[in-house]
Amino acid sequence: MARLSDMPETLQKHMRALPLPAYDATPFVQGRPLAERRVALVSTAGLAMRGEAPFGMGAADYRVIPGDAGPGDIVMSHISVNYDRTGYQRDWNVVLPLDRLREMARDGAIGSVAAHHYSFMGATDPAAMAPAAAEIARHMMADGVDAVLLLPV
Amino acid sequence: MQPPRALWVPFELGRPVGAPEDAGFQRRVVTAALGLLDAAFGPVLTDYPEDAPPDGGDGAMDEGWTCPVSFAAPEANAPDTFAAKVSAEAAQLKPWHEAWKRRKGASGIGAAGAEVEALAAFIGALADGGDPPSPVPGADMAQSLKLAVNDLMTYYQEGANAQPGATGGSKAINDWFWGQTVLGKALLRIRVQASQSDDPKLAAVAGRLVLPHVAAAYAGE
Repeated sequence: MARLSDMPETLQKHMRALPLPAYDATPFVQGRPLAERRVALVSTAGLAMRGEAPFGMGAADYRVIPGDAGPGDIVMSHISVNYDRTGYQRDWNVVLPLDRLREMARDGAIGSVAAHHYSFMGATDPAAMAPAAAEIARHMMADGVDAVLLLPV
Repeated sequence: MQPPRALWVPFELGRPVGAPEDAGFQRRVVTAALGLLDAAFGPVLTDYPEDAPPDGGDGAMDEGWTCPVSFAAPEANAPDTFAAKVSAEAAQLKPWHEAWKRRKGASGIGAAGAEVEALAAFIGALADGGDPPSPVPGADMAQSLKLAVNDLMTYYQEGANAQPGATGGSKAINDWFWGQTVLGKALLRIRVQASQSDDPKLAAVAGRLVLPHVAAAYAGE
């Protein structure tokens, strides 16, 4: 999340009016040391593999980013025009830091990189994404993932 | 919301890892976020302490940079329509977009599944008040407008950032795009025209999903 003071006034007003979901509890668990964990990325930047269907208004589904994907394989189709894309255009790691994860795995800072990563299109009611999130969680568990970095754009 | 573990970052919206083309900076951010997994108690909300460096390196002034893209004056007998002018402008930017692709090995264009030339002609015709056929396979007008804007803005931003002296900063790119380009003016026009459309989906896209808040100043709002 960025500083509100860095945004145009109308965008600040919009941001302040967004509803914040409330949850009954905060699940909090501990696990293995980071150097043993298998890490996946989840972005809300509306990323899809080139040739896949772009995201549309109200999209609550997700796209799979294979672990061996490169920046030229991916296309961004988030519906919002209210965030910077030039950083992503110059370097996909500013949104999806897959190169950094690969380095950290090589260096032993994390155990391994997941076989798949995932992207939503974040301008959607979070409650509508819950079924897709549960589905992704099942795929992650089957892949042995035990650490997830969520990257809201 | 109280998620179990969260790292607040002070970076520009759209750059959750902070700094493009700065692997060391990115690594520190990712390490800080994943380091929260070591917390024994939660929920944990930690502020990341380091600002992203300015685009263009230390000392660069994003606000003071002028994009060196300069478009040639239209031919004297060229039609005075957005369709003609946007197409001509996009064509003039092509060598720089090719330079971007050579430098980066890729382009982010592709969501619409149509050629830039067709997208430029489509947006120009819409701005002229026409009812052009969609260049996007299988898409309705609202989707076509959204995806055409998505790819054309990527094309313009990548092309501008390929030019010598470009800092890659969003402020300078926005000033240039919304203040100087014909495409920017066409989108300002479409926002006004198509948001009155009888097609509610097209009106919604034109009204809310074409112009960013930063463009309001250029629209005289």
